[in-house]
Amino acid sequence: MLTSNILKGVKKGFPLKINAVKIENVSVDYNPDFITRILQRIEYDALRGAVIDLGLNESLPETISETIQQDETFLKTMHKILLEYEIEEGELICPETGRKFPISKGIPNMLLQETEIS
Amino acid sequence: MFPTPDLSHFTRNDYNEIYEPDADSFLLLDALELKLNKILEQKPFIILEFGCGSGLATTFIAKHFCPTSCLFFAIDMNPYACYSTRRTFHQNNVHNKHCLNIIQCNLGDPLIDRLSSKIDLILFNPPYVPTETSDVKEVIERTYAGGKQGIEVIEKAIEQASRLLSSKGLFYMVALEENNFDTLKELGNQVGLNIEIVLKRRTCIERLFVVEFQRN
Repeated sequence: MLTSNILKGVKKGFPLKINAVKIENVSVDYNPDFITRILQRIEYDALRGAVIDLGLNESLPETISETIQQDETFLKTMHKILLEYEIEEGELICPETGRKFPISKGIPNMLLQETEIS
Repeated sequence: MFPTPDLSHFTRNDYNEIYEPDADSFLLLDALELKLNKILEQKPFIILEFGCGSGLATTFIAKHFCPTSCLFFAIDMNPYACYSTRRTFHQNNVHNKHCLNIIQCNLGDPLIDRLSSKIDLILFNPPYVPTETSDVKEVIERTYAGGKQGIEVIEKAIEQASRLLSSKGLFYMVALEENNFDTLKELGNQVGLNIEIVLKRRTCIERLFVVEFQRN
């Protein structure tokens, strides 16, 4: 999930919409410091939108206040969403152009054709 | 000397699809080790490798340069290299401690907007061999074909690095004598990066060196 929060589509295309065919749950060591640092660098609204779109059974607050950023339950939820949900098969869709970028074996293919780059 | 990451999971067949680590790959690892203290002082958090291939350099950094959990981005145009990088990361047991994001793309195109001025460490063993063009189709050819003077891909990488590096970020890159140090220096200057030679080595067929770029 983290990767999809960083990538952009053809020009400005962000956030990419996620169409997941197969989601895997992996297990990653929980490290609250790491999650706190990542929180500074993600687009929270885009992430929350993706969680809702995908229908993941995780509840996220509408905004992240200073206090919630130190809340253990919240950090564990973020850990799970960012690092433990892996989209194995599916696609990322550019919001501007509708261009689809396939995800295969967990790796998104963001290669553009020459003709797509202006 | 740090041990080289375990690559025993690869077979001959794998090396038909990805670049087999060679003198240039090991020179990059040796140069990184020479700069160990400088890199550790920066406490790198976000690390990017252009053209990750087997995943050797990314895994080496994850194993020896990152006492706390880090965020890695590894990119390659070749899907087989993307999968291979993940295999090497797992084979060396660094996947539980660090977060690795692998993306099949051309240099850092889809990352630049979001990661601008955020990357602490960039690694690149580029296609540096002078060839007629760097626009080649064969997967293995792409690992070395550098176009005119061997710097067509290098030039783009330097420009992207200048946008991606954090204020004290470091960019380490392998180069060939024919790439010409003064040309690389000029390319760096044009985008506000200083350059320094870290290590030089002569192999039976090539004179190689590793450079360090940093914002001036």
